[in-house]
Amino acid sequence: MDVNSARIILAQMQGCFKELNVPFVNESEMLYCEGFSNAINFRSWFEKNGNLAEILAFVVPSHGIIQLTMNYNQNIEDFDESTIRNLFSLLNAINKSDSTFYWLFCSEAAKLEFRTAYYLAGNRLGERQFKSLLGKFLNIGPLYYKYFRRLINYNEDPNVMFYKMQVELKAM
Amino acid sequence: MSNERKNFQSTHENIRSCLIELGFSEPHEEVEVDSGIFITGIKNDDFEMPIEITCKADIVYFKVSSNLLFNVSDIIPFYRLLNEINFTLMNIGHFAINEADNDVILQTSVDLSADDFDREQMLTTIQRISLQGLELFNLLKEMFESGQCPFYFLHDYIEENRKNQLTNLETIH
Repeated sequence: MDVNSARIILAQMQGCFKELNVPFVNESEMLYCEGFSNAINFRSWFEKNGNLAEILAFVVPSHGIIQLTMNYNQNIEDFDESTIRNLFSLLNAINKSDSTFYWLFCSEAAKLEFRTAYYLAGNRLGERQFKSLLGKFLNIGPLYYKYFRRLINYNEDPNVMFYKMQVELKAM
Repeated sequence: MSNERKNFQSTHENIRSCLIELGFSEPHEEVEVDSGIFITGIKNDDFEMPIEITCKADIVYFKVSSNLLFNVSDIIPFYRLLNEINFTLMNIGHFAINEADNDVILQTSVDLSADDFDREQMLTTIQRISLQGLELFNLLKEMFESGQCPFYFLHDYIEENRKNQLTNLETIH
């Protein structure tokens, strides 16, 4: 994929954000971002349950993929070992049960990141497919995060949090 | 026949044809009421990598296992290691630990809820998830057999990848 095709796809993605009433600011270019040799992206934000998240939407020409990330400020290294163990346990339970989305702790950037990505066939964005994914991403990310917060704030059991999360997901 | 069942069957048939085109001969098939499952895999000298593909009406799930049964005394460094791999090396999938048997799984999915079956997307997804599995399960295996700190091992691997990517970028420009 060349950079011009990537820019067209990025503009289509912005159109989808607009249709779903999700605000965004303009693109920036990154010659190197973690894991990828080059990418272009734009920034957005989303607030639910009183928690504000930064959203980054990427087109990665070198890999022919688009990637969405939802970032919450969270430095886990400040927590005691037992809380870190519980956080990783919940994170892994989610990553094991969900094929589409996954969570990461980024210690350097002190953030908790929710991520998804998929391959773009023929260097073209299927807008209906992307909007479907974006809608799920915006619904499910904050729901998962609410349970991370409960675990952090009230030291709740990760197995119980995971169970309650699954019940809520099924009811969606 | 309901539309949902008809759609899942059409996806199932398309996936079978993709698997055959990619050289996965005679995948084992199981068909249930609302989904179809293919069980296939890749075998190399060191390990066998089962691949499970579940087709539903609006989504296809991919699950790749390593069968390597990692023996770890403390699960936290292992969680951290996979977190680092997911952060730095993944593009269309992610790793998780199946704690019940200390196996590692690699997963992704393709959403079909809004669009028709895209053969190129499916072929590339199957290829990538298989290659990522082979490469990174091998990396994990080497890490654990080396006796070195897995994080040093991983950082060397990432550094090597980064150099290659930057070299490619210089070539493009």
